[in-house]
Amino acid sequence: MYPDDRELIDRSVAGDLEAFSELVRRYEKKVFTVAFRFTGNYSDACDLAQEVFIRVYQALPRFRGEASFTTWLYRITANLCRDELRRQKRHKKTSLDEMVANPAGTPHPVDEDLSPDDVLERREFQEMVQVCLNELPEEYRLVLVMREIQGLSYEEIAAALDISSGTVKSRLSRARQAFRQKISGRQELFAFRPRLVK
Amino acid sequence: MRCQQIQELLSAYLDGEVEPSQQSQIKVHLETCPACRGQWEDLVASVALLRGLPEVSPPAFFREQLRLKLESRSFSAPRRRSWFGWPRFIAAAAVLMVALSVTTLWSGYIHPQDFLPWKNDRDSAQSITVAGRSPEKEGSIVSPGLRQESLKLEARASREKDGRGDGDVGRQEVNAGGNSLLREDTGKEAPSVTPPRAAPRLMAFSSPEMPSGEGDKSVPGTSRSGSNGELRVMAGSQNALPAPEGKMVQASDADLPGTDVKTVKEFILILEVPDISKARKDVLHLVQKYNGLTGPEEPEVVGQSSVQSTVMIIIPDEFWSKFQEDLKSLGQVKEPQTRSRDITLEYNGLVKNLALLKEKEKELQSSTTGSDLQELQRVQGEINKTMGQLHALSEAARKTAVELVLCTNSSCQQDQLQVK
Repeated sequence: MYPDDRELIDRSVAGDLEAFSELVRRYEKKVFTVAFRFTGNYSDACDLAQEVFIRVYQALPRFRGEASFTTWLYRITANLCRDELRRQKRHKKTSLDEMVANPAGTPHPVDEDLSPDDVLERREFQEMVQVCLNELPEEYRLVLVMREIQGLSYEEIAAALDISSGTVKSRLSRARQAFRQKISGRQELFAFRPRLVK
Repeated sequence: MRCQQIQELLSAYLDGEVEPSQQSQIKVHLETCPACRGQWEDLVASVALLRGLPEVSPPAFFREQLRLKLESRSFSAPRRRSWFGWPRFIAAAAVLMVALSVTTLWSGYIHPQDFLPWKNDRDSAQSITVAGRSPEKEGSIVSPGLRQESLKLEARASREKDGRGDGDVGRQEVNAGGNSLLREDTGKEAPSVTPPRAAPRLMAFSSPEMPSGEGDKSVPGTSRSGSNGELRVMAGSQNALPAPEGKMVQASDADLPGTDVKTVKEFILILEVPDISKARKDVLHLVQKYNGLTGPEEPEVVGQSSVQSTVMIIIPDEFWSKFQEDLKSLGQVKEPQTRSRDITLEYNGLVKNLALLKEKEKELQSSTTGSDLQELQRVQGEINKTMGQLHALSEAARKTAVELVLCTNSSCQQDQLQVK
């Protein structure tokens, strides 16, 4: 959280799109990561993340700071993720390949320690993890993304997903279990240990 | 504790969410029990896989595209599937027509000596964004000349719950718009507003022949579909932002240099194409590419077999030249006519009027007499109308309107073309 977020928020409420752009800049990565890890698809994530910020802009006058801005943001993101899934189910059967599609030129985090081969391996590896994630039911996926990728506490997750702390605990346990089962079917993931340098 | 209990707690144990007494129990158990330790290691490994997924940044154009979407929110963009979903397009294209018709008539009713040009742009711009934001959020502005059916259709379209994504998105938008209607943080009471789903995101304004002086009870469109409620909330919300208004009023006395010139740019382009319907599709693709808007197409038959088609298009200024370039690839561009109308004066006039109205509103708000209350309502109606007009103008000033006439080479004879 930035100390002068409140000022940016106030200016955005007054219609200052520049201020809002700056606010977006500060939080876009968080929102986009959740969107991407949830949808597994770069362009869907883009649309979703933009929709999140549009909602944010519209709802900003009602944000009074009782909750933290980040939590509020995650809440909107989670809701839109759920909506997105509902909409997708209605229209198309998303194939797993389609879901993991990374268009050419999609930026990937650059890691200078790894050789190009290693980078490629790592990317494929991550894609496999993403595929497993995408095979999970949406509520498991959400809680896993919030906890494991965004590092939110149980309380923060509870606030973002609008559930109790106890529910977070049990749901996370089941979600991790389900995820384990997914990857146990893909032994190569276990064989490939460690360049999980972070 | 037994193994099964232990294993159920492993997830919480990983996060440090077990009681201290349980924590040491589990730790000891894991050291001695291979089965549970195996489960534990699997858990740790799989969580590590997830935590190894990096954060992802959005693409470079993300914020810019978002901004365009935000700015055009009072219009609706052409839907991917229903190119010719004309109710929304009528509303969108009509915004520009409102702007033009309003400005034409407005200048007829304001005597030049009644207002001073607004010189302080920064503050007026600020107050305009204040004014402009709510209409943007509440919906687009519809010309009163618009047919009744189109408004109803808009209402229906936004209420439509077809199985398609567009319907869902539309519903979401309506809800979002509806939610913002129920803003209560201004401290004013939100009067009864029609339920979000039913209220189309439109505000209809009274016809421009209403001069600023006289009150006009019949404000067509404000009673329609709960817009009255919308307007009222808007007025309230503006009062929640005293700072810009305060600045605005003070600044009217200062005489600062530099006026932001606002012009509405219009082009009439004739494009000769081999196949009109194909060209129409291509044009619509282009319009969507540049975040523009189109009105409904109106095929006209000229002569016996030749046909022409006119499309009204609105393109954001910054994309106009690129759009033009792309158009050239579709066919031969003949003789573009351009018209540029300077609306700075009208714009500034509206700004000044808004200030006066707001002062009046403040005065009336402190009174309690019945007639003053009525007057207050009238003034607030005027305020909303003015803000809507300002918004329409500022939106129009940032976009270029094109009347694109598509014709084949048989119908492209100059004397046969019908150009509005």
